[in-house]
Amino acid sequence: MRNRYIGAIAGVAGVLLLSALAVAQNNAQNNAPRSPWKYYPVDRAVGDGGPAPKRDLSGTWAGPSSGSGAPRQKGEVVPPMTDLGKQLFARNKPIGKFSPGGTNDPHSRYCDPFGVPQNMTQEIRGMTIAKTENRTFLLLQYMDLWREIWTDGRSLPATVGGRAKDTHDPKYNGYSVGRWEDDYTFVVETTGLAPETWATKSGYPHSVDARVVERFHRSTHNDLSLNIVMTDPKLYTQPFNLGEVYFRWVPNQMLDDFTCIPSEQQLYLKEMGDPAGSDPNETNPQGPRGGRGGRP
Amino acid sequence: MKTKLLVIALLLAGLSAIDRPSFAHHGAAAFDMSKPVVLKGATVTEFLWINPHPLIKADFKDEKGEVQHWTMEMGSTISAQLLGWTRTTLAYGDVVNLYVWQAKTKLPVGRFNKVEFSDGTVMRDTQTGADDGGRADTDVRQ
Amino acid sequence: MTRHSIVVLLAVVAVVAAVDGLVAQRGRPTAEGFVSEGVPRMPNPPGPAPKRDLSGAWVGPRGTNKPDPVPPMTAAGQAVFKTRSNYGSATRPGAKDGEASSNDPFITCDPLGFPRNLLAHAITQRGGTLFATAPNRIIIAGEQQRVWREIWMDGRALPKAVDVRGAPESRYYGYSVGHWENDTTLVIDTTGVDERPWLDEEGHPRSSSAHITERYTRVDQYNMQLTVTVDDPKFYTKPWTFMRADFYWMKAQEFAETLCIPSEAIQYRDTLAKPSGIAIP
Repeated sequence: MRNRYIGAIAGVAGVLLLSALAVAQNNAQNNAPRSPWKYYPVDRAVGDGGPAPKRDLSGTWAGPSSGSGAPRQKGEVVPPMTDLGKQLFARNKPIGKFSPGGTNDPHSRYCDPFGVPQNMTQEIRGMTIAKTENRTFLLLQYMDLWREIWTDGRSLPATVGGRAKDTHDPKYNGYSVGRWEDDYTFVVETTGLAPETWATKSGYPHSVDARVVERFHRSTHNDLSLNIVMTDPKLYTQPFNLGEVYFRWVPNQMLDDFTCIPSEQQLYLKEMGDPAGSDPNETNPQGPRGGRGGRP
Repeated sequence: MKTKLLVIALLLAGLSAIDRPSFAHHGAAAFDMSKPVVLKGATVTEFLWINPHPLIKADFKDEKGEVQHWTMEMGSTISAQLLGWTRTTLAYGDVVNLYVWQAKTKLPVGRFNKVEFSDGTVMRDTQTGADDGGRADTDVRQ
Repeated sequence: MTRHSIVVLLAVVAVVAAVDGLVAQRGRPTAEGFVSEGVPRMPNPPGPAPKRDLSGAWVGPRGTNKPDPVPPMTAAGQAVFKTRSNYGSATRPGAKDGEASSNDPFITCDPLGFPRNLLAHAITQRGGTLFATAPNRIIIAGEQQRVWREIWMDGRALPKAVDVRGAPESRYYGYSVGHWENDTTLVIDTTGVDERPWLDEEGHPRSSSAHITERYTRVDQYNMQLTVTVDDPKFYTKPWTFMRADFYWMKAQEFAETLCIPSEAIQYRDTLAKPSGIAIP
């Protein structure tokens, strides 16, 4: 009992010390001259910035764990799996359970691309949206990667993968089309996703026939939300809600660089990840999956 | 009376802050989170500002006078920056006290907890920087 | 197809590098309906260039690149260049194991960085470039590695320095500003590039203080020219034209997904390149 209170005081002391440090850092940042070329999390957008413009998502957005104050990301809700789904899931050793030393997550071991949909739920701290007449582009901060969404009314490819003469090749980012459902909601549909990628960081798989629907909703000038649902009947008996991601407008429209460098990944694994090992049987609770929004 | 209420409020806040360490992405599994190893007067030999985790390398002389070569990881560059970390926060030659959650393999590797500089400044990890191993960046993270 | 083509790509890129200059001259007949091999011609002749508008997807440099020779380097530039062993040298027949092994960071998919990403690092020489808009910016999206850059058009100045206190950090694709020199020429100035990536296939260096200027001129509706100059007094004794290339309007307006996949690159290196005696660390 007594130790608990001492622990509590220590915990409070830690929190207070950190708050003082954060305030000190913020003050230092507040007084320093700003470069227009850097992202400053203390410079958060205030309020809603007025009404959302119609049919326009373009600009730079700060997502989960960016310090922008966006609402917390909502995590995935996993539906029941088919036998094939269970089989594929069993092969995957997610980093949360197995640690870098024991995981076979291709992104964690190699920096292989996340692919859609994982690149919209992981490391989605920053994103710029741009457009041309017939396409909308999602320009991700992480990996400097861009996705294109055709808005010219075309349909998704009928066949992807397999050996038929007229089939399309699967892609890490799939094939995407988009349309405005109303003046503030842009709906994107994607298929043809290369099955090498994991749908989630927790190791849930997807097939090449999966259909991912992303619903972008701009409620105010400064607020953007994204809901993602994947339908993949080969592997899941019901649609798979991959969660909600929330973004805030970035006042100076600038993001810092953030990417995965394969040679750095290999260096990290050699010096740290592999020597630290893996203990998948550890029963220590690890916090809600996905609820904290991206890699801390 | 106000002071008493404040103290109670702070204690309650402290109690709720005692969480199990939550490693939503990485997994605490590989590290002994029960108590940190303290490397007093360690000398930094390298600070690699890389992803997925910056690496702090330091030499520590134990009681027998033998030098241990430690490597520890911390939260990603982009999260660490929210706590004020930069690529020059640590540098070759810095003499510091390092707190680290050692790997269960008992090798001199682990997850960084916090560093105490000679001037009394403390810099913490994001995910495991609290003294109990919990997050230390909740103030700024969202 | 794209991911498998990485294997093919790595196996023959040395050959391509060696005969790069020869391909254009060899004069393989171009089939009717193609601007050059694999690049379809638009059905109608090009109209005039629209004003201040490059938007859309373009194919280039298509083997048309005619750069100036790289000028002599400073001592600092030489020192960096000495540490690099390009893929062409490593895979030349007769190169000894260990002596000529390549340390090209792109072998295991480290980012190409700017401006190397403009050189179509692909056997087909069909790399592409795409222009789009965001508030106060022009976005350039490349086919190579699916990377994007933003070009600020609001008249701001480039950072005077990088990697010092208060300044932004050097980064793989640098910091860019642009302006229209006239109704058909967009001029872009870039600085602040991270020094790790190579400037070109040979491994020449470029510093974070280099100024790299791109000049995109839209000649007509379907033709565009690009000139890139590098001004880097830290590493080179004078500026030079790094790239002079032609781009053509992409008929299908859709790039292949050209991604270097690290796990595949490592697998290639370990299961094919090393046993074949292509010495790569």
